[in-house]
Amino acid sequence: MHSYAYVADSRLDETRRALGLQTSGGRAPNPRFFTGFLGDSQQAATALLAIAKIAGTRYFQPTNERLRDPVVTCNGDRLRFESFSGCCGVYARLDVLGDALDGEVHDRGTTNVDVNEPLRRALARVTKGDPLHLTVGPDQVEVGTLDGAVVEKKVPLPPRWLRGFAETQVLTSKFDLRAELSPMDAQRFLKTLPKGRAAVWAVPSGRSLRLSGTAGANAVCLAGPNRLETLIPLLRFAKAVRLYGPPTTGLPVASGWEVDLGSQRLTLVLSPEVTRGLSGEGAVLDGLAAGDADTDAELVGALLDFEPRVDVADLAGRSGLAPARVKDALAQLGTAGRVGYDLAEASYFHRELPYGGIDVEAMNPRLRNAKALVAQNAVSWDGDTAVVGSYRVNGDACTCQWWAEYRGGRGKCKHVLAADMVRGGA
Amino acid sequence: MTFDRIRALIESDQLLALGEVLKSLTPDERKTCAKELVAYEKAHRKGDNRWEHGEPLAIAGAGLLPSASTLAPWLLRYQILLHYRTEQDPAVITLLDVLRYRDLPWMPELIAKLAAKMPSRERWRQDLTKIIVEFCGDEPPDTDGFLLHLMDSDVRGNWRPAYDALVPHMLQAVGSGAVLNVDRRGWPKYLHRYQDRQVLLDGSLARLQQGGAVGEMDGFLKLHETLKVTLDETEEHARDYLALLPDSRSTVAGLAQSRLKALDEAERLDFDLLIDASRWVFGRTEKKLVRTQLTWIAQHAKANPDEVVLTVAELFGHESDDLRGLAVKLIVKHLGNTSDATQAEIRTRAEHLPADLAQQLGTTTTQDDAMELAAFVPRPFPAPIETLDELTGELMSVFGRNSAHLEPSSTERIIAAIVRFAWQDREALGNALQVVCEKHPWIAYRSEHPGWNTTGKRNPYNEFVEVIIAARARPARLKKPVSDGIDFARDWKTEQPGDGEVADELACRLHEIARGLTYLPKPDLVSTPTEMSGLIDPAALAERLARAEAEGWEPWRRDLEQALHRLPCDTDATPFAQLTSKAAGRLRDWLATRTDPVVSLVERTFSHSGYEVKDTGLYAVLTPGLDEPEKLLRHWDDQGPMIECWPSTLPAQREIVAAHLVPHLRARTATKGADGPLLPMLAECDGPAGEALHLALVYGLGAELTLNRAHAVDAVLVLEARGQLDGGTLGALLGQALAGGDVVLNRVLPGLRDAARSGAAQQIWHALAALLPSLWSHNRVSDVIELAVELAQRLQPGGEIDGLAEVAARKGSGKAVVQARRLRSALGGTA
Repeated sequence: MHSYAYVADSRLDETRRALGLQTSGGRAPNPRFFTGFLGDSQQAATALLAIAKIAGTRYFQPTNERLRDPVVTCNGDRLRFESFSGCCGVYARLDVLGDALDGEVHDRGTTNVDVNEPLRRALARVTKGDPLHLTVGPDQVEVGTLDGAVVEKKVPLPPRWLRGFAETQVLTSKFDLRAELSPMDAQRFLKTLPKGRAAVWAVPSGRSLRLSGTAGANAVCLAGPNRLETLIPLLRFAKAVRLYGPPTTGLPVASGWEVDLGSQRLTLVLSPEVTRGLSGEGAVLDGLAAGDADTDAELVGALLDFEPRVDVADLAGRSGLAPARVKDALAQLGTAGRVGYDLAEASYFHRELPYGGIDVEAMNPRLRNAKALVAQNAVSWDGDTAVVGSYRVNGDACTCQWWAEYRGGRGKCKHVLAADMVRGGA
Repeated sequence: MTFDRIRALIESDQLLALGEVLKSLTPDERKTCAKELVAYEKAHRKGDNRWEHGEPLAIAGAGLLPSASTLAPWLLRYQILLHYRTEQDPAVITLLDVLRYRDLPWMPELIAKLAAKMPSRERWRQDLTKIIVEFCGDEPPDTDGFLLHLMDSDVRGNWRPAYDALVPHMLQAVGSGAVLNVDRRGWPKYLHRYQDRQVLLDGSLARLQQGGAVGEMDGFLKLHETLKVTLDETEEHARDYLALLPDSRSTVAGLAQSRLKALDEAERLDFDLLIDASRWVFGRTEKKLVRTQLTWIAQHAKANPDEVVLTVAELFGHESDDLRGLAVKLIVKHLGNTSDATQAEIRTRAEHLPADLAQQLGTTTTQDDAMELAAFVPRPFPAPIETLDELTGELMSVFGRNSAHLEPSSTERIIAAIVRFAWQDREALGNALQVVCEKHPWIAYRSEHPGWNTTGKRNPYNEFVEVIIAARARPARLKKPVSDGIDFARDWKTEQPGDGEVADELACRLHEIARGLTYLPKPDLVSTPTEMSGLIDPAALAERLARAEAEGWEPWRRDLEQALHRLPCDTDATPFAQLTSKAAGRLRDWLATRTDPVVSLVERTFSHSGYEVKDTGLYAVLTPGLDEPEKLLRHWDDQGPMIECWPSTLPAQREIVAAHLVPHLRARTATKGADGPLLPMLAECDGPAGEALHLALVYGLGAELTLNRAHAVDAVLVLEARGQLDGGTLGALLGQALAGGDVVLNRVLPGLRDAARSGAAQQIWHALAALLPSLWSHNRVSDVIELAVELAQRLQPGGEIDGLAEVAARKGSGKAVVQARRLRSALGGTA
């Protein structure tokens, strides 16, 4: 269980058009990031609603349990609101860029932000008009008068949710831009998507996209189009919609959907299938198993200070590591939720998930099991082939059921990881 | 001694007596008995009869257990089923009686624990509800689970003032909408009569904004309707109604629209809110809502021409030409009164409109470059499986839980590898297959129990498994040698027939491989395809046969036959002229006598004897080969016939395969299974692309599953790229299928549109031209005409369409008539 302690409820004062978002956790108990004005108020309110909606939804096997609040990161020149659906299948991030913000940045960092029903309703009532006054964190008055008073919320915090939240960053760092749609074409395509759970492929066709049953060139996988519903209200304000995806092998893969609103961007990442969470995609296992990334990650992590864009060359220079090792270290930091990946800018940004006690090993059972296999001396060699239990590992391929079903599309299996560890250690 | 008595009463389910005994205990006795009860229950739970005596155990627990933390999980575990019983249920009465007698100081704690754990999605714990209601006094808990149970029970007769405070929470609980929606419960009226209006209105608006399932929303719509919201209230909540417009269900958005409209009619709606509402509605797909909004906003065009015109221009991006036409009409009427800046803006935006609509605004459309399809290139067949480990991996993947359908190429690679490895090192192969059998013990079971299959039906999938089983065993020694030309499947073929000719071919070939592995192993198969479609390059086959000749072996009979079936249609005997083996001779003979069956389309009715099932539809009949297609694949077996491998079994005769697939594809218009890219495979195959193939496309385009429809579009595009798509046939068949109700227009049209926009415009135009004459009276014909207009404007095909002139000449401004006039003028006629 995770416990949020806010000094008050987040609220939107409609007469003063003042939005006060309350914070909890991170480097301070209730950090204070920003005071100022938020431009494009209707867009911003609609986008925040989308973030809140994803944080409160399970797209697979819905339950009535209370879900986690969104996370906000202040990178100095911008605010990033992130949320992750309860089913671990949809990740959303709203980047409010410098052009939409006019005010004072008090501190950098990452924290949880309170979202409640009255706030949701008030945000839904925002119409076109003057900019909103935005405070992220308790304002001076609240800190002074409400000393000791807390609004406490308790939510379950399952490891798979945390892992998925973190893993999405590493996964998306392998995405490429596949298609860019004009607002009009995007509206037509997204609003007329048929229902259904089975994964289909959106392939570029003329100016727009069409659905295909197989992964062609530049295809983006789309499973459960209802998971894109939160984008629909934003399309009215969109300047462009961009689609991202990893190289395809024909098996379902994750996909990225970015709505460019000008001075704001909303990005959704969908898992390969409705029934699959992003948590099990195994994108980070390789880096984790390599072992030496650990110390590099610590070194690189210490050099980060909530930069909006992490410059690999600069970090390589400052840390004295080769750029490739810096990238590995960043991937490693991604696993622990310590960096995020911005698809639009194709770069990492620094953020620390505001949850205590993130144990990377406990979060990655496959890695733990692989280590156990190595510890049991279960890996023997038949020429270049590793024999792990009754399974045989050749390079990245294994004869186990799990590998046969996903063909490396969800990272390595525990047998391949164990063989790699032994090979690396020998 | 006392507990023995209790135990006896529990085991004989004597509830009333049990209650009396429990009430008669002294505190010390209760303490001792509680311990014994816990021990007894532990043993009982592990035993074979653990589902028995739930009710007496619940009562015993209530009478004995010492704390809330022990009793709460106990009561959650042992349930008294109430939903089908009367209110005067002895079990619950006893339970309440026992609890009442004990007068527990920790009752509030127990109630909190029970309420927190009550399920909210299923509401079958009315027993717990009774306990809570009985003992909560004036402080009822407010968890979702309890509140939903409370709403589900008949609480209205026993409503207490304390429940009033629960109403806002009730409305917030997910699931309460569904309860409100149950007419016989009458909740909306009850709440309306006795509860605070403001709370109810606020609550229902909040839930309508949050969205949810249809039933849930319907409940809140009912509550809202019961409230008969006044104009004052609507004005106060105008922005809440506005927030319902962007992404709620159409019924909810319709409600919001009508409330705001009523407000506007009373001149109490802020004009900015009207503009905002219009923008949200114009972003929706429901034509009815958009039309209403257009009529509504038009009333303000005189007073505020600039804002109205610019807002209506949002519709230029709408998918429907009908709505775009209405928008243009409205703008044309008021454009003269707007500022220069607005007019310039409108002209720029109009560039994306269809040519005729843009023209009305004085703009010429920028024509998109027509999308050209890339030339069709056959996909090469993947490299053969080289190692036993690779084979194990492939087999594991075939039998994995996520493998919905077989990949034809992996099936071929697997059997080819099994045959090769069995020849090279049978023992190593056996060991490798052992791993697969350990993971999937049913394969081993089949090999140990040859009589497991009692239906005796020929079934390709079973034979595929038989190949694996045969490869695990050692080859059998024969008393006398068998001839190379032996037909292993000859006797077997007399058994009960399978799923048509193609499935039989496949089953017999796999049967031969299984028997051949046992009695007459060969070094390799000659029938492995060289293209993904299943086709074999004749030169590659000649080379394989030459190799066999040189090595001194003859391929199995059906293997050779399969190889023949995989030769492209135009193959003659030339590549095989130099070969001298018996196999090559047979091949040359077959090539000389190869014929195609005659395909005809018929309407057939399937009726099942003994049931009142009548199913009439369009099928393809083959003479000879398939007389009664309507009887094909009428059983529930997605896996057995290995449908996904049919195209590659007869890749040079796709009409035959298509005719056999039609019954299945027809069934897929009402079922959701995925079978892989059947239609794209057919499109990649060789042979005439005739009526059977086009009928298969029609059913594919009307499939229930989005994925299957996407496959059909892919197939249309492959055929187009190969110059084999016949739009006229496709359209005519589509017309027949639509008329017979076999497919629905809603599903077919997006596929046709995608295909037309992705490079098949010309043939889709032909299809529409052939389809429209049979469709004039269809209620959604205007959608089809819209697509026809789009294509006609792009292709300028000219010509006439039967009946178009009559429809266009009809009076009025109905959707179909307006679109027909546009089509007529796009074709060069006078509208």
